[in-house]
Amino acid sequence: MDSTTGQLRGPLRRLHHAALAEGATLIVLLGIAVPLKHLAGQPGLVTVMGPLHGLAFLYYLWTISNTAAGDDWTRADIARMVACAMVPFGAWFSIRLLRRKAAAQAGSAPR
Amino acid sequence: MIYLLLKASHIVALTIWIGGMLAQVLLLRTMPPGPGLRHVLDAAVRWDRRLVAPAMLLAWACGLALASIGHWFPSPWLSVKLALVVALSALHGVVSGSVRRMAGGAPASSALSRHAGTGILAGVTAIVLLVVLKP
Repeated sequence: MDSTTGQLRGPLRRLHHAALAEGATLIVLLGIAVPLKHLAGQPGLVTVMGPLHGLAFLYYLWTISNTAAGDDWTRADIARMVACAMVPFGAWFSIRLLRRKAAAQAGSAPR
Repeated sequence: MIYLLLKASHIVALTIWIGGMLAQVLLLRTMPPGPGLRHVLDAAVRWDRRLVAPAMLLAWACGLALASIGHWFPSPWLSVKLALVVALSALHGVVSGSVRRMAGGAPASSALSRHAGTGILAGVTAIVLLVVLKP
């Protein structure tokens, strides 16, 4: 891999962190907290993880709109990033898209 | 006491967030294109990163905590309010991203700079009405 490929900087790096936080809280919420509530009758973790995931989701959406407006993204890219937030492990796909964008930016940057 | 402190923090954070957004919209509307006043746009980008965006995060966190304490999540008014908050947050993302883009030398979108201020004020008015009246 080229040394610049996949290097995330600035807004892309922030969006990468937001995608990781959103994806991780969604997996904990759906994979641990919800089964605990419905199978073991323990709603405590859902009470904590619900608002926490809401916070991570809002931050992810804000970061997408900020990065898309600042870097002139296409509507298809924005829709793909938002769709990735709706499914468990979707963050993996959004991070791949971010790495492709970073590689494209590195390729078009003046040397 | 915790509820009142959260409420006060929520209002302060919201005031800073909305004030910051309106200032950014004013910049988008009034800044002439060209590199002449780029330092003003750079300062606005830093201001957003250090003050306005953290204020938005604090407003979200305090708001979610207040809704949890008040057991308001099932209420329809809160669902409408949350949708408006998501829309305002997205609008802030677009406005602050546009300021960053303008600082890089690109022209501002005229449609955004013309209508964003109205959208922000309409959103905030609807949110305050929903919170106060709790219909």
